[in-house]
Parts: sequence; C-alpha cells; structure tokens
Amino acid sequence: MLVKNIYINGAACISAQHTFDETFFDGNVIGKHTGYRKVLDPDYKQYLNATASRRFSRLIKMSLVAAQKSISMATIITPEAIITGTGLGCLEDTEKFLLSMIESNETLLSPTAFIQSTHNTISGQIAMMLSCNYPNYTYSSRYFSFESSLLDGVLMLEDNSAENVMVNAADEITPSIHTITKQLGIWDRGECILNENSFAVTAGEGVVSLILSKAQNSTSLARIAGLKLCFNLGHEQSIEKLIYKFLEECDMKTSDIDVVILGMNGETESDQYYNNVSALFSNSSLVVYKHLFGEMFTSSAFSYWLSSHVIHKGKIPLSCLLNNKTPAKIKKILIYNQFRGKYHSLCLMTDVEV
Amino acid sequence: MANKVLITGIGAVSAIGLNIQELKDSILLSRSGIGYYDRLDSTLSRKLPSAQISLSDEQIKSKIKGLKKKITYSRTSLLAMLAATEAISVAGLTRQECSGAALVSSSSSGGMDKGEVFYKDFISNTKKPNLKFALTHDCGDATEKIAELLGIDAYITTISTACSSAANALIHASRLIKSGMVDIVIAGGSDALCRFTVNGFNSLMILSDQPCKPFDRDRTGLNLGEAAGYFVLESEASVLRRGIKPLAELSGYGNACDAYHQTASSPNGEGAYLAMNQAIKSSGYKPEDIDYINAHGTGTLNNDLSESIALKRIFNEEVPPLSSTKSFTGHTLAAAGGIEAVLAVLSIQNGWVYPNLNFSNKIEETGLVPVTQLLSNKKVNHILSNSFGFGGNNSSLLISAC
Repeated sequence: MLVKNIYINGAACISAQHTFDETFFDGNVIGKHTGYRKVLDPDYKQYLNATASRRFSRLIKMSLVAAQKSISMATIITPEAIITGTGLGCLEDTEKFLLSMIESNETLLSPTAFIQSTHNTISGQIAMMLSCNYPNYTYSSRYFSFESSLLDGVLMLEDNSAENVMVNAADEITPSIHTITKQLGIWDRGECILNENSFAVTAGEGVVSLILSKAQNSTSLARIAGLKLCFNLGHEQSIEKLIYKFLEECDMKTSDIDVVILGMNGETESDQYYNNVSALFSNSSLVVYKHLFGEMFTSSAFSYWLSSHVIHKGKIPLSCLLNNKTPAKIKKILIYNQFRGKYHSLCLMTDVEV
Repeated sequence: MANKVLITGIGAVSAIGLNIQELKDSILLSRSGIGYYDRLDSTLSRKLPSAQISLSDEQIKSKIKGLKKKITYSRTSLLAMLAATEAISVAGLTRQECSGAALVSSSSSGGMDKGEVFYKDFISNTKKPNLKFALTHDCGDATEKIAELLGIDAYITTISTACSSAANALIHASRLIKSGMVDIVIAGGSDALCRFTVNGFNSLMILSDQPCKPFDRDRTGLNLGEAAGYFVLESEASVLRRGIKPLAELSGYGNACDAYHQTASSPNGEGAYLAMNQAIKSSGYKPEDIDYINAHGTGTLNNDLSESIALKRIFNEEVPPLSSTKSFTGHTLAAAGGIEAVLAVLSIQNGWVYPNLNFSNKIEETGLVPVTQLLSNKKVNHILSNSFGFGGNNSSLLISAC
C-alpha cells in the first residue's frame, strides 16, 4: 500500500551490536562471537527504578528502556497507541513458570513468572510506565510479528485515530530456546551470507522501538512511503512481480532505489529469493545485517532501525555492505524480508527532505 | 465512516457445542459446559471445575477435512480450524476467495498444550523430546495451519493480548477492511486449555472451586474454558459482489489500556470505560441504543466490580439488559471475545438475551442485576460485547443488526 506522509521521528534499538549508543555507525562492530547474538545489556538501573530492575525479565527491561529512548528522540510525551510485535514473547518467564510447575508438581507456585509470561506484558508494561490509556496491541505471528504491528500503526495514523504511535519489536533468546532452534534447523545453521568474509548467521535477540508520526519535525529520521505484506506468493506470482507491482504503486522504478536492505541469512531456501531480488537492482547498494544481529521472528525490525538511521546519517556501515557499491546519495531504501519463501514484507523508506 | 464491516460467516466450538447448531441447542436448554474433566495430565485440572471440550485431539482432527496425517497439530490450532471452517462454509467462500482474503487469528497460550509436554521431556534426562511438538509452540503456528487448510495467501497475522485477543483480532480485521487493503477477512481466536494455564490462574488465586457466579455478591472466582470463535468479515462491496445477505454488522470498536496493574483492573474501571465509550462513539450510536451487553463478567471479585462501575459510568442508572455467558462456556481466554461475538450475532438473529447462570444476590456497591432467564422474541439491534485482559488490555465491540 502507498503510505502518505508517515515519519519515523524516533528509533531506538537494543541488540547484540552497539546500537543503543549508536556507535555501531562509527565502526564499533562486534564481529566474531560464540553462541547466539546476545544483547549488550544497557545499565538498566540508570533508566528503571529498583523494583522494575529487580522484578522484570531482560526482555521487559530492554523494551522499557528502548521505549523511553524512542519517545525522548521524538520529543513526544505519550504515543496514542502502543503496538508490539513479539514472535515468542516473554520466554524467560514462561520457562521459569514451566520449570517450577514441573518440579513442584503443581504446588506452591508463585504467580510472578506467570503474570509476566503473557505476550502482552511488554506493551502493557510500557503503557504503565507512560500512564498511557490509549490503544494497546500485541502481535505474535512469526515473521510478520513486527510487520503487522507496523501495518496496524500505519493504519491508525492513516485513519486519523492517532497522531503518533509507538511500534516495537521484542524477542529474547534463552539457552534452551537456542538449543531447540538449533535442533529444529532454523536460525542457526552455521551458514554464511554470500560474502565469504562474513560470519555465520546465528540466532539473535533484541528490541526496536519506533515512533511513527503524521507530522514531520526536526527529529524526523526518515519517511515511510510504502508497505506491502504478502504471506504466500501463490502460484501466479513471483517475487519479481510483487516488487514491480509495489514500486509501481509507489510511483518508483528499480533505478530510483539507492539501497536495498535484504534479510539474507545464508540459507539456500531463503536466500534464493534475495538473490532474485538483488538481480533487479544492479545499480543499488545491497545491505545485509543478520550476520551481525542474528536471525529470529522479529529480526527484520533491525533493518527498519538501520534504514532510518542510514538515511538520516547518510552513510552505510561497511560491515553491512554486500556489494562494493557505495551510493552517491541515500534517499530511497527498499527493505525486503521473508523466510523460506513465506512472509514477504516490503517497505519503501525515503529521506524527509521536501 | 467509510466502508462498513459486515459479518457474513460465524463458526464456534466450545464446551457447549462443536458447531453453531449445538451451541444454540445448549443455550435453549440452559446447558452449561462447566464440570469436571480428566483429559489433562494435571491433578489440579481434575480437581477444579472447568469448561472443556470432551473430544481428544485425534477426535477433533478426524472432524476436519484436509489435514495431513504426519503433521503435529496443537489443540489450539485444531479448535481454530474447526471453527474457521464452519465460518467459511456459512459465508460460502470459495477457495479462490480465500486466497485473496486476510486471516487475523489470535491466541494467548498458542501451542502450549504441546509445548509443555515437549519442555517436560526436554529438561528430563530420560525422555527424548518430540521436536514436532516444539514447532507448534508459538502463537503464529495455529494461524499458519488455518491459512494452509483454507488456502489463504494474501496476509495472515496473529494477535496475542491475553483475554481480549479475539476482540482485538476483529478490530484489526475491521481496520484492514476499512482501509480498503482487503475485502474479506477471516478473524477470530482460539485457546486450548493446558496445564500451564490452569496452574497460572491457580497461582493467582482467582479460580473458583464451584461453577462461576458472574456479578454475584458472593462470587468466588472464574472457571477456565477452551473454545474457538471465528468470523468472516466483508466490505459492503464484497457482499454486493457475492450477492449474499450479511448476518450482522461490526459497527463499532474500542481498545483502551487500563495502565493500572498487570493483572488487576483499576478501581474505577478506567480502561473498560474508555473501551466501551469508544466502541459506542465510533459506531455513531448512543448508549441508549444498546439493547444488550454481553459482559466480560469472569466471576472474579476484581473484574465484576470494576466492570460494573465502568458500566454505570457510561449508562448511569439505565444499564441495558446484561449477562455474562462465561457461566456457560467458562472463561475461554483468547477465544472469549470470539465466542461471545458469535453469541451476539445469534442474539440478533434469534431475538435472544442470554441468562447469567448461578446469580443470586447483587453486588452492593453497584446494584446491577443481570438477566437470569433466557429472554426470547426480543428486538435486539445493538449489542456491546466486552473482553478485558491481563496487561490492562480492554476491548469492546459493538455488533448491530443489518
């Protein structure tokens, strides 16, 4: 869908890279690592009160801190909707409650972990932190968890029910879930993205918090100009057709796109789609990120954070560049993600200059 | 407001019926699904009354055409597919129409019924865990399974906002139709009861050891249930094109956050008040137009008082006929908003106002007296359906006759 005048006025990210302080853009990049891409925890005590720091799981804490930052970047007080996408929800508390239920054989269970295990704890706690009575949503739908949240936020801005909305992505990995996903053969298969000197993609975790607004202001990082989600291409459609149709809706040609950000993860079944798409954009810079941030249900949210800052700062971190093309200008970025041929999401992000 | 959202299909499975007809029969006979069940491998579940579906997973599976033998389906996905298939059939959607439709499903516990079995084996040193079970754990799994069964390609998503999930799924579906993004949306919610949920609610000390008594002075808590409720929602243009008669209209909705406590409702019912107010306001109708309120009414001390206060803030002394059908279905969590919205459509179709079972004495502070006998031959045009959840997630739907 063509999106009119929706601005990203705040964008915070807590991940396995130095994204919270944004030194990631100065070349402060963590390359080699062991295990999964684990979040670099900020000093939560600096941002949260003692009770919150003690009681909440890491995922809730990082979500609260990222939300604080995106709000302060956008210089708004209260967003008129809080929407969070989480593929697996509050795993740490879920596991804690499961474990005590099994070990105690259903007796003497403390409710704290159960209370905090529900998926909507994240959006709910952000609302409580901000005393925000406005609409509150949580999406949990695999590789559309974040994209559905984004779509819903865009729809609320477009139907004039809100001026500013907060859209988040939040997922955590625990050692058990890492073991399980490895056994399942997803996210962590030891495969590299095309570029031989890149690192094998592993599972990852982290949160992204965006403030989307109808009005452009001095803090605007970028503009969302188009968004398209397609679960299954079906028999008649190819990814090339979907992209051409999307660009046409946005009144663009492939040659207008300065940068394409791809959700490549090194897996042949997924990467064939990205390769087909890359072939359409012979003059654009190609950017990848999952080798540094990891793969998971809401990993694509990192690329939205990345794109908004790349447009704003006018530079691409070298560690993310897939081809050798450094663009002369960065005004239009196409974001594309999917997983094994399903959950295709396309977003056109542009600069905010009139 | 542009683009009406019309209801053209409904499907439901709960402890009081595996389809719409059985649900209606149970209502007419005042047959509650609350009782004692031993399906779950849980001492606690056997001890407490709940509203479960007596069929095993295999039995439910055998009732759904087109499922694959080798695939492991969570109970949540099986319930969802049974209800969604019924909704599609009522609406008369073809496979091609489904392909271009969107699916907005919802669940709170997802495939935890299989996930908890997997995890027990995963942490034990003796048993080999079944990885197929782990694959069904996340909330998005059931949605993918429904999409695969019905051939939905365009867009799928899943809401997980605890007990308001299905109501929020219908709201997101409305926005998709109103924006013109799609013409047809299949939407609803499903939750299967599992050990994790029973133990969780028990740890909160809000489960009653007797059948729940919503809005009663001496209420002692809620009974958990399992269910799925699904809808086909369409734009006016699609209804005209297909030449069908809609069952009802989703005329308004409201979503607000109580922002008070993770599990308790605020004393003045702020979130509930805002959600109901918004639902009525967005429809263009007035509080006095409401003919019936299907309340959230779980039977807990906290919810029923807070909801009653919110109702009085909106309707003053003129609160419309009110009841909680959780005395029939139990509290079916993510599915509650779905099954209750299905009941709202049946209420409009049949002129019914449902009884609130087990009610004896009114709550002193608010004095609300729910309907206690099935009322029929009523003119029911506008129904407010409330669903409130953990995290302060409060949602309210307004369902109107066409």
